[in-house]
Amino acid sequence: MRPDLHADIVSRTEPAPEPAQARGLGSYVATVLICCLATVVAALLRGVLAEVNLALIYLLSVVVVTVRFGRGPGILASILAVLAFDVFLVEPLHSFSVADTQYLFTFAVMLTVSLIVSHLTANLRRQAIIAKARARRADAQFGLSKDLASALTIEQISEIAVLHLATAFYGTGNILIANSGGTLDYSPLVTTPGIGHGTASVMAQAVFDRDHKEGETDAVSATGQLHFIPLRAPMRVRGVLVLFNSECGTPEQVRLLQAFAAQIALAIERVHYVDVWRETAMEMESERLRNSLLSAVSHDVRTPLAAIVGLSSALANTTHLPPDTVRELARAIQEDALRMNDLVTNLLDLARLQTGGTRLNREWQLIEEVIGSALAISHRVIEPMHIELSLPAHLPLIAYDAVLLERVLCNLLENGARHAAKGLWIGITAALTETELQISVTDRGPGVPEGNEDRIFAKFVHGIGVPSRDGVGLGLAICRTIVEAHGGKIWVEPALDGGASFVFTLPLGTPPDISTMNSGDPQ
Amino acid sequence: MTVRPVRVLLIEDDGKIRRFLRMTLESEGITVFEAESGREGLAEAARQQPDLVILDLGLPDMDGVEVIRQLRAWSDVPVVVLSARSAETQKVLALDSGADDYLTKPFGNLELMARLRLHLRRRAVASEKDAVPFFEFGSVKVDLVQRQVTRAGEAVHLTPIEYKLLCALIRKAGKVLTHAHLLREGWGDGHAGNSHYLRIYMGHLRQKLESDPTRPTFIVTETGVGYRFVANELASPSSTVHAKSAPPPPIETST
Repeated sequence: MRPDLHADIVSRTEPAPEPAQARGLGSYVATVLICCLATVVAALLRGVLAEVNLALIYLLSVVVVTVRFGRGPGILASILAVLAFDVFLVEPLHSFSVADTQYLFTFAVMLTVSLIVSHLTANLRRQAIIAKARARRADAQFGLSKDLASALTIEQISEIAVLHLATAFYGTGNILIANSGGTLDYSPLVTTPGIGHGTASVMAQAVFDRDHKEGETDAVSATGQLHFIPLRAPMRVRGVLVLFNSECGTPEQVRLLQAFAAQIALAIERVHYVDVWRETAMEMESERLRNSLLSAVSHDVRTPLAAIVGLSSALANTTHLPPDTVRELARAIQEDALRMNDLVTNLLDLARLQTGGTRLNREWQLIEEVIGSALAISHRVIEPMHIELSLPAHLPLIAYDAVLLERVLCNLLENGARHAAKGLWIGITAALTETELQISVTDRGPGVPEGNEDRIFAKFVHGIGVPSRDGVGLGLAICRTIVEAHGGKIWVEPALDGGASFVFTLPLGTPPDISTMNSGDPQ
Repeated sequence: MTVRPVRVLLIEDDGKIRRFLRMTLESEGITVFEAESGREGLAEAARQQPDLVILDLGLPDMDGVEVIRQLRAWSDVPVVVLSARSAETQKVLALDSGADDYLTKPFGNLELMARLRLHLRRRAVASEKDAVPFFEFGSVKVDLVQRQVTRAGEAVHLTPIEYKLLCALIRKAGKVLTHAHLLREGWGDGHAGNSHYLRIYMGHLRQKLESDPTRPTFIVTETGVGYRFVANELASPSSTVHAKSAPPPPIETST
């Protein structure tokens, strides 16, 4: 953007806004009237002031006329002033003839000074007008670019553009965005009254296609009061700006319109690439997940599967196996099949939970109940462990999905049992705060290495030094998904005597009324 | 008095599972009848008069729940349904339609036999003596005539609703009772939305009757479904799965 060039263009092409021409004849009539007024004033003061001072009254009127009406009336005023001075104030009165020839010199100087003053004043006036127009345009552009900078979606850009087109051009503007196939979205036109949108959309498409193919720059197609400007961004044409019923006729306004179009096009392209980036980032993330899922599945599913295939083929194809061996093989097959069942269950659960396919079946119930059933289910895993329960008496009812919360507790118990091999102790405690119930499952294992506290809740993350055969690293991810679905939080903290403490919270909420529970049930 | 083998009807469309069930049951001396579809199953049930029905809920020709409803119209044979995991609503529906218990796939033979024994025993006991005046579990004695409950010789005070719930559990010992069923037993109709009443009362019962209320051994929670009463003479199903005790004697009912 080169302001000098623009100023130049404006000064050469901008007589239009000057009020003198805009009002035409009126200003010339006014000029004549002002000159008459000056003559009357001068005639009245003729006996009081010297003739030189009377001439100054005319000079004053020339300046007034030029400032008010511009260059043309100024020149007229200069000539009228000299003639009036000659006719009404210089002897002989009421005649163009002059008694003293030195007045000819006076007239000449007076005319010259008038013309110069008029010229200078006119120039000043034009500069002021140009500066004002430039400021207005800069304001309009600044306002647009400021608003566009904060736009995050195509819809927002469209809204901002419509608003600014209306303020700057007093017209109705629309942004038609092209889709990837090169077809414009005409829907904004439909909601705009006053134009035959069928024709307009055809014309807009024509403008878009021409610009798209031929790369013609700065093309403005105007038909009457309809303007079509391609939205040209560095990479490609993004759409077409349509403006109608507007005050956009002068080259300067067209120029401003083009500047608008360029800014809008840039904004559209920026949003487009932000979207592209976001999609790419998401694809990369899901690709990463897919890869870790694949490697986890290929390892954790294939290992037990390989064992099952191998062991069962041994059973099927070997004759005369001692009965003890047969039993041993079968038991190994059973173990691996159960492990695969756990894995598939976890995978399905997580998929179901994360795709939002599960609705929580929340019911008001006692937390002791689910702790009890989780302990009963996990008995196989925790059989050798000493479980220490510490639950305060009279805990309130909590709204939770029993099946899912049982899963959280089972996973935490299994996790604890896996890591607490040496300690053989697991503690379960519950504590009330004002707004939530905190439940922690603590083991005396090696604890979670510092810096890994958040990572272990991600999918497919194994504990340090834990053979991946013991799990797929999905248990804690499921815990987090379930707890967060209940509106709670889950985290791990170091336990007092080494080991890790997994804590999760459940919001208390407002338990239901139980006042009628005991009706007909005397104690 | 002759001893006839226990007869079990198997309604299951998958051949491999049928084979596994038949093998397990026959090794226990049980006579097995098979049916591949619901219609065939109902016909077999009428013809063979089995002592127990094992029913898969995912049948090709008709809904398993519908099979139970039709069966219950004329028979009170114990029904154990086989269902997939995370199908609690289906389980509840089956139980409310008259099924006695469920097994979640996959399951092992020990788990299966523990459950079957529970229901076959229950049936035998129920048919032998309809009115049991006393019931004992752990150190708890329930006198059903005097309406008195003692624990280790000392009287336990139960409220009328608590006593009603306990009786409902004892009457159907071994069977899974859904929340809706127990609510009706304790409070009558119209309390379907008040399942938290039941949870609080079950908590009270455990406090009064269990030695460790948070790890109950008699009043067992069936998560998402309801409750089951497990008397000590009938081993708890979970503990039998990996029990290393000698195989129990074959089940027989006298006719």
